[in-house]
Amino acid sequence: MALDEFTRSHWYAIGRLEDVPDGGSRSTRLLGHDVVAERRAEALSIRLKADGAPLKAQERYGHVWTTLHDDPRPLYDIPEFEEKGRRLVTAGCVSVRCSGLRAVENFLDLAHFPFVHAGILGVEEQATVEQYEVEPDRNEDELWATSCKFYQPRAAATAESGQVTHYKYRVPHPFSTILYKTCPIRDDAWDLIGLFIQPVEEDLSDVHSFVLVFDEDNSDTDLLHFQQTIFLQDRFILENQVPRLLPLVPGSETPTRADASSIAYRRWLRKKGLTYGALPAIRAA
Amino acid sequence: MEEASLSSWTAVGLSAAVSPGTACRALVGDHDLVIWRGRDRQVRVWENRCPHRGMRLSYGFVRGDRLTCCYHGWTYDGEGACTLIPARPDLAPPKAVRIGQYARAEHAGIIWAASGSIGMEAPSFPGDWIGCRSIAIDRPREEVDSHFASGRFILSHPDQHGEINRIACAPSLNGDGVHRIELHDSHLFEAVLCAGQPVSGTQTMLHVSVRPRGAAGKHGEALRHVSDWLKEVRTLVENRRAGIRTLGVPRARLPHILERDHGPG
Amino acid sequence: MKLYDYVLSGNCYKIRLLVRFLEIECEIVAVDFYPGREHKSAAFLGINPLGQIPVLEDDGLVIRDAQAILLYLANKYDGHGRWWPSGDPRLVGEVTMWLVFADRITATSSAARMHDVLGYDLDVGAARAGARSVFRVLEDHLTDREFGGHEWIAGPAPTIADIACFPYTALAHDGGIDLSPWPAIRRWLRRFTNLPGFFTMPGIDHIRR
Repeated sequence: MALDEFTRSHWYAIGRLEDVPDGGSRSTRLLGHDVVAERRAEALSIRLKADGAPLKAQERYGHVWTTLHDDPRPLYDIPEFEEKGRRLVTAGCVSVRCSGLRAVENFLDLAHFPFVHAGILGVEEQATVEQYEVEPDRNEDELWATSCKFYQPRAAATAESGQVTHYKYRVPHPFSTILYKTCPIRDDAWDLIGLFIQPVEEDLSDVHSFVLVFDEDNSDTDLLHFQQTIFLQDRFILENQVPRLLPLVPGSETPTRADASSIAYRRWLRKKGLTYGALPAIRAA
Repeated sequence: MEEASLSSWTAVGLSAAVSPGTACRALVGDHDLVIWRGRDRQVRVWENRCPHRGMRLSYGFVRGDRLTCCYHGWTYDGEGACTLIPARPDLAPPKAVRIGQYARAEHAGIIWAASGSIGMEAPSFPGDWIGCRSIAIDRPREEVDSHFASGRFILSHPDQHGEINRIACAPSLNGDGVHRIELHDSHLFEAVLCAGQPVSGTQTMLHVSVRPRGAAGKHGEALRHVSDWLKEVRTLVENRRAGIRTLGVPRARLPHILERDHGPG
Repeated sequence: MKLYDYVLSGNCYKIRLLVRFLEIECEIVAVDFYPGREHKSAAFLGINPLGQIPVLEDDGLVIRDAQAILLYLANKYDGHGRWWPSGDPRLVGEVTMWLVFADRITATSSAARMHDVLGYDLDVGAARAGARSVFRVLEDHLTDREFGGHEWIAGPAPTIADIACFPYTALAHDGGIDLSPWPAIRRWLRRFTNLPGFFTMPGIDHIRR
């Protein structure tokens, strides 16, 4: 499958800053190409392994980013990374045998909390998903799901007891997604959790994740363990969805009104002409 | 590999292995199946995929006579119709949501499945059978079949005097991959039925039942005896390709469980 | 008592299981095993020079290796001798044999999982093949046990052998190993999840159902 222009035009995280220390290198794979990142005398460089062609590189949000495109669209802004008092925990990369699009869609989903994260992010007795709003931003470069709320017995590493958690979701990139959830200790702020997905192949993903929160009680390692617990619960689901690629043909799966974000995400991907990691109409035929 | 199309009846598990309230997965070539049994004791064989988001239903849970997907709790009745969507309990599940069904039957302690359009009856075997075990053999089914057909397997069986008899298996073939071995003078069992499930081009699951002879208290001994023999069969089939020699034991003396004393205690 | 723990480690999980089954108090110290590799830090090497978790500290004793910790806890805190039936030499032999066997499950099934989940650089084909041959041995054993009317690896009741073998068998899926070829193993896993006090870890929740 040829790489579509929309997928190719983006930046992708390929490791944490710590994974490419000075004098060190990291070999990995992005969109079916082997790439090597290395740092010499503090300078980061990234190249294709096959022919040594240099790739663009930047360091942001605790990660090293690259792109296969000569003229990529700018990497999206996450202004919360500039806010004082937040703690950043990068949870490392977890590999999953599925399309990165499946991982994004799962991340946007509220309805699985009572079943996949039972006792932590949801309880079966309160499984109802209230209506929420999903819409693209003005330029249709991003997708936002807002006014989501859900009862959670243990919403965060900080949480001692159950609460109705309010959520917003942002999809600034076909393979990235960030959730904003009620901060248990500050009324005026949101805690952020996000996925930067590195599509290794169409059906194999390296999922980098981060936690960016106000939290004075938990150690970084506590936050890390909480985040990894949640993601490994999701990973089991993601590895057992059939097919591994995300079907974009309407009618190939069965969304309901509780799946508004999934419907909007798939529609947005179709509109952008994305085919990488997807089963578009033409391939399903 | 032979076409694993489920166009003929295929063994997919032992009845006893799918107890009420449980679900499990079986593969037949490209067919990914969920086998489950409700409290009504009816076994069902379905496509292993929740129509909502594609999750394998074999990791779901059985409550009463319904199967629930572990991803979002979508719940299906015995006919494969969705009865509950927990995220929207107010919503009548769309009627179009119905899971693909396979024809299924239980005979001789074995669960059989075939594609829904099959016109013929499932194989039936008279007598009281008890499921012994399912055993994975890392070879395609046609290779397992040809070993059975060759009479290479020798099943030892003790008679009522404790004498060990040996029967070279020249089994009757009841359709694809099904081998029935009748034993007339064993005090442990009357017959053994071996039914192969072609999992993939490299693996066969052999589902095996026995028709035991004598008191129920003796059945454990019969089952263990056949299970030991099946381990020998597995070794023989797998090693043949691998070129592992058989320690110079003449073929007629394999398997070496022949050397064990199986006399009546 | 203090356990150096990683939430995704099956070997740490087995210690937490026994701690729960024995209803003893234990402080959990979260170790940044991944991505931080804290178990290889100078500070942690001072605790365990092998650079591995779990490690248990109790009464000034520092003890490493999951099976050794299970033996220690069961000997010290299981007044009924249920989990480690030390009075029966035959059972001691059997349970010890399967405790050692648990390390074979770790060396194969856990290795495949480390490759598939955390990207460890190792021969995953060899790890999976090794796991399959180990699971075959366990399957045959559990099948024989069932013919005798027994539900557990050794003896009439669950022992630390069952605890030791449980996690990386239940987690095989994470390393790309489907447990469908081994029905007796799946029955045993399900029985294990019904033990009083049992709790799950990520990646094995499906067995409970």
